[in-house]
Amino acid sequence: MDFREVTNIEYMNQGDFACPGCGAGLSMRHALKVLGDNTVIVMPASCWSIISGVFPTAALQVPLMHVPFATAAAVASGVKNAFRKKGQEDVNVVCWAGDGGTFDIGLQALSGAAERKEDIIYVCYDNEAYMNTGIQRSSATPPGAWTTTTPTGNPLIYEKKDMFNIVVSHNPAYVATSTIAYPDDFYQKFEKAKNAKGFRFIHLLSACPPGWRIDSKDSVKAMRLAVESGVFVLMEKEQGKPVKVTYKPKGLVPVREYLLFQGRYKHLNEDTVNEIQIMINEHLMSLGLL
Amino acid sequence: MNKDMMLGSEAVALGVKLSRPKVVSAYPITPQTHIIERLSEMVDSGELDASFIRVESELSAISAVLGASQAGVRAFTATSSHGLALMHEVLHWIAGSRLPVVLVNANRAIGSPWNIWTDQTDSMSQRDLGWMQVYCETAQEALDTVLQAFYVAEKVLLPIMVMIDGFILSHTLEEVIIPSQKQADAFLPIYEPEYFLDVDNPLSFGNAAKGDVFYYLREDMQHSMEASFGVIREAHNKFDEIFGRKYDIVERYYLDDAEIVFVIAGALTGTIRVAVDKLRALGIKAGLLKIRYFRPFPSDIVKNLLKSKEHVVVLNRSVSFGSAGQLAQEIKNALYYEPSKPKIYDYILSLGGKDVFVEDVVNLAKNVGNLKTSKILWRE
Amino acid sequence: MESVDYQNVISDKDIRRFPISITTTEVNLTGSWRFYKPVFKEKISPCSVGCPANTNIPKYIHYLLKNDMDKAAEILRRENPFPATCGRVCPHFCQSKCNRKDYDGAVEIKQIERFVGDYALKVPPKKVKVLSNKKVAIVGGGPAGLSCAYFLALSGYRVDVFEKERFLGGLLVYGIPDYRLPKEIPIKEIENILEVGNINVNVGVNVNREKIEELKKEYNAVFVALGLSIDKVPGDVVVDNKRVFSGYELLKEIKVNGNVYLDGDSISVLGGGNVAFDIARSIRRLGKDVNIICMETLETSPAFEDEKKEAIEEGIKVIDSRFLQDLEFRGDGLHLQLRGVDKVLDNYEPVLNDYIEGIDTDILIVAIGRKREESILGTEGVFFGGDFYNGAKTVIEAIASGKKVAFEIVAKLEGKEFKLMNDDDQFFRSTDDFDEYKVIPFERINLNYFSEQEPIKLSKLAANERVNNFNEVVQKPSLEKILREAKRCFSCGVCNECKTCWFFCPDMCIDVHEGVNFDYSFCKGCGVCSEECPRGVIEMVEDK
Ligand SMILES: Cc1cc2nc3c(=O)[nH]c(=O)nc-3n(C[C@H](O)[C@H](O)[C@H](O)COP(=O)(O)OP(=O)(O)OC[C@H]3O[C@@H](n4cnc5c(N)ncnc54)[C@H](O)[C@@H]3O)c2cc1C
Ligand SMILES: Cc1ncc(C[n+]2csc(CCOP(=O)(O)OP(=O)(O)O)c2C)c(N)n1
Ligand code: SF4
Ligand code: SF4
Ligand code: SF4
Ligand code: SF4
Ligand SMILES: [Mg+2]
Repeated sequence: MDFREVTNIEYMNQGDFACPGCGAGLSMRHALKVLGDNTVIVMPASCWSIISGVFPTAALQVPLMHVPFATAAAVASGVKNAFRKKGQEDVNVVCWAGDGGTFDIGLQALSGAAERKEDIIYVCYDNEAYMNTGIQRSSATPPGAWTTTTPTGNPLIYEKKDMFNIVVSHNPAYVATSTIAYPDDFYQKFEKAKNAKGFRFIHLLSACPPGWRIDSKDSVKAMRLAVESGVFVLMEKEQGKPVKVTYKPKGLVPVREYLLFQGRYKHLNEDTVNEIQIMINEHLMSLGLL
Repeated sequence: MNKDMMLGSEAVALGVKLSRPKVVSAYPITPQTHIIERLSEMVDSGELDASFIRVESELSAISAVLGASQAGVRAFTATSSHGLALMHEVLHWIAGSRLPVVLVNANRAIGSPWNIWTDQTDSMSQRDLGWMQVYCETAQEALDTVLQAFYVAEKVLLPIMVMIDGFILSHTLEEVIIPSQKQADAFLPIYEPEYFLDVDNPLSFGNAAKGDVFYYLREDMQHSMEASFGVIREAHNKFDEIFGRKYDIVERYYLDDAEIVFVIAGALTGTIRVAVDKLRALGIKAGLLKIRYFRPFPSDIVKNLLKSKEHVVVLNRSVSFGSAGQLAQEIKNALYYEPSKPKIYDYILSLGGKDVFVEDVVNLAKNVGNLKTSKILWRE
Repeated sequence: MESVDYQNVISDKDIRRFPISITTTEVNLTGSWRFYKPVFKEKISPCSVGCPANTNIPKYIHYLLKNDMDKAAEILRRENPFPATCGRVCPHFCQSKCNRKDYDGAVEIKQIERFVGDYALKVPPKKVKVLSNKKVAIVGGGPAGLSCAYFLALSGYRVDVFEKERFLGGLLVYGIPDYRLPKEIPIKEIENILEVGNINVNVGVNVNREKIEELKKEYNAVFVALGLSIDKVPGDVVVDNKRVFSGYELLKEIKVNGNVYLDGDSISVLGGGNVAFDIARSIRRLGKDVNIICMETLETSPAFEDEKKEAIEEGIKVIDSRFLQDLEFRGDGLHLQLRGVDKVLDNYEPVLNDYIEGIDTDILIVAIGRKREESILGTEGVFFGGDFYNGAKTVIEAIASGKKVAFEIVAKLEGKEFKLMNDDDQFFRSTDDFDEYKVIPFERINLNYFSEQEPIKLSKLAANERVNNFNEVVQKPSLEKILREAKRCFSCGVCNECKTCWFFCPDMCIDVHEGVNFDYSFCKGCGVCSEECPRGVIEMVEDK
């Protein structure tokens, strides 16, 4: 991607409260560059509740409403229906939720909205734990990862919930995984989501330096390594078409490299790393990537 | 004048239709179901130009309504009991967001054990939200109150919960005068909020607030509640002008010279009216104070009406366990600073639909001299 | 950075009623969170170090890609006044140091330089005013002398050049054959050098030791770069200009007159270096049968690989691993007795074997090297440079030496100390267009931003199209090809305004425009920009 061709218009203000190197802030910045100003954001409890600024200041230049943790997709349904009734069908109504607000507490509302084919875009920025409350485990926390509620590591039998396929099973307009470390992929998918009609879901892997116990400078690198090691697979599913892997890592980086540079995995021993590698290999095989 | 026999639920649906909401979202629960079935039919047939969002839970129903209202349109939902409880978090959020949502709650007990019959535990448990609360006695009142509720909520900028009793109001056929849409439109102005999700004026709603500002925001909710009496009266007057039906914040029945006063809210008021009639026939000076608005609570009105009475029997239909009946708490509270005040009895009249017979109430009045004021009174 | 105009519709009273945010988070100066701050520090690319003139290769490539050819030409000529020449004849030491070399092949810098250099031919440099009344004499108008003159003139000194021939340019104009370097190219570049002003040319002046002594008195400094003027000839061989010739002299004649008369059709050239191959290929172009006799094997002979390959394509026979043991005049021709060579030692002494072979030839051309005029070397108080000082080297080394001496002279005349960037290194740039002397190694390149792509291939005239003329063999590459190649450059250590840092800054604190500016009011010091910059330009330094 030629970054010189990316618009200079920003829809986010400086002075937000994201930690240094936060992937969630960066992802929002670029998502809005694609979505543009004809967009409203519905935001459940998450780090972004804080990132967006303290009353009466705002970090976003598009309308934003904060909502209770479990409600994003339902609120967005209400917003979209209201806009439709007002003749503003074209407004992008976007849920911007964490993994907790998506995989866990918000899953029911999400499923409802997906099943009703609500015309909204649901973005989950997945930092793989409840970060806002201080790094507790969610059902998006990967096996082995340290959190404050998995102090000796998330049990390996807790495989990360397969949100992509959960959403796919609702047969919505568009489902994708992406991460801002792959700018082309990210921009293309947001563009596709923006142009589709119906329920659209984008699952973004989003590095969290304090939660992953990495140096803030390595945040993009971490997201990239997740993809290069096959831990996070970039894919999409357009309605009526088969699932498509949108990026195939050139040579798979051993998962060890991804895991062991993060503090949250540093307690892992060789055997556990190997077990995780096997889990990943199996997943990659099921996708025909190995 | 157009009249018809209809269920209380249908009267509510009619009131909603006349209010022209743009978004309705609800989830079925007995005894609210007839309301939303009727509304679904109206939306499907085009009688009501609204989106009906068939959500997967009450939590989502109230959330969808939150979204719609924040997006700047009139929004409605109805629920009952467990459903209302499930909405709790969002009910707070709507009040804090100052959104004029109208919700009809068909009062019903909450388990365990399961019980689908009426009491007011569900709505009384939600009294501290910053929602206004109105309790209705008849189907006509329910219909009219829905219209009034939008009027008041949109001026006060607080949401309103309108209560109808499960079964005894929701499922009971009554004669109802059907207002015309023209009348309704003359009464209820088009909803044009000042601040809403607007891509041309991008604002953030609900960003984290520190204590100092949060305090002011909450203080204003209380101010608005207090100031809302004026708006409610204005609504009642205008309603009377257009529809020729009078409403008040509280309703008096043989109250002026009464020595024993029953205080009650909701559809059981009808039963008490009959009891009062019987007592008057027996020469006992009984009277009735019906509380329509429980939030804001009309303390001054109540105080002035009751301060010189001898006996006030509060007929609660809910309990705050470990304390008192919620209605009794309010009555006592209103009279606290009066130098001479009536004896106030905190009587739990019915829970979970326990039958109430006129005779029981008559006997209660006859026996009033023996009643204690020091603790909650339960039926034998 | 644009931000919305918040509408002034909401009063203070309203925000006590509604939880509505009406102003921007720009009131939070998040820069105060920072412990480290990013700083823009351009560094040195390995190719720049490889280049004896230390040309800022990534920088001019950047402007080429930006379609700012004037700027590209300017940057290139800041370090080297002969880019069109070097783009043709330079062995491109830079390419052997290129970070891309072991990735997917070095960038074809040569072709890019030629392209930009050709553009620069048409843009004369700006005139420079004389800033000092001190004068410098330059002896020898080859690339070394002229570079020295150029940089002195740019620095505002008056220069007088003394050249033995009737024209300037040295071997560029009378040595390197036209099929590799059409003489118009250096001639035009010399014209451009003279455009700077301040340079006074005296041709046809043969400077000897006495003259140098005079110049020393008359001038504030003297630079001597006479090149190599004396042929090396094997002990018992005599250049008679009938049967035995000097390759250098023949080349000069061919270059100046376009032809030379040789009485015979079969010609042997003695020597394995570029000169031997150049004379062989030139004579071949005059329709003769040519062979080359050299001591080394063809593979190890010192001529450029392309030269060897092209010579063979043109039908030149290479008789390698042979030593000329004896030469006999037989009738109208010569008989050469050759001995087999096992290997050649470092001091150019052959280790002979027993093999003996005789060949007959009409003419022998000697091209085994040249040496300098030693008598001049001893002169004290003058600066020396170019081939004269360094031995037979290359055009770019001559240029570099002229440039370096120019700045040594400037320092001396201004009473300052002349210093190289780094003692271990010969690094010298006329401009400080880098922020830190740190060479960016391959490991500092963030390969995630690149994908493998083969270098462009040169297009050359086919052998049959070139053997009967002196047309340039390597064809001018198309703009499209050049741009494709330019895009391969990692731009090691040099900002090419790729905006990667801007893209990945989560806090919108980066403005890329002729470098990078950081908004320190808001920069949280995360370091992502520094980590992601594909080419190691941004450094994190401790703050507070
Ligand atoms: C055939 C040939 C091919 C070559 N090919 C290449 C190549 O492909 N690539 C490459 O990089 N290099 C090549 N070289 C080498 C390159 O040409 C020289 O290294 C370079 O020209 C040296 O520059 P210079 O200024 O030191 O000397 P020169 O170019 O030799 O210039 C010296 C100048 O001093 C003048 N001069 C000499 N004596 C006197 C005097 N007494 N008084 C006044 N003036 C005097 C000469 O006339 C001449 O103009 C080649 C050399 C030859 C001979
Ligand atoms: C009903 C409810 N339960 C719990 C919380 C506390 N809470 C706020 S944010 C959060 C975690 C959010 O996690 P996630 O959705 O992953 O977003 P992140 O903070 O990681 O960005 C929790 C548990 C809440 N706000 N509401
Ligand atoms: S805790 Fe993690 S996700 Fe939350 S703001 Fe900080 S970096 Fe971002
Ligand atoms: S990639 Fe470009 S800058 Fe780096 S060494 Fe090669 S030519 Fe020079
Ligand atoms: S990322 Fe690109 S624009 Fe930024 S400093 Fe590096 S080279 Fe320059
Ligand atoms: S990426 Fe942005 S915030 Fe982070 S160090 Fe660089 S300029 Fe500062
Ligand atoms: Mg999270």
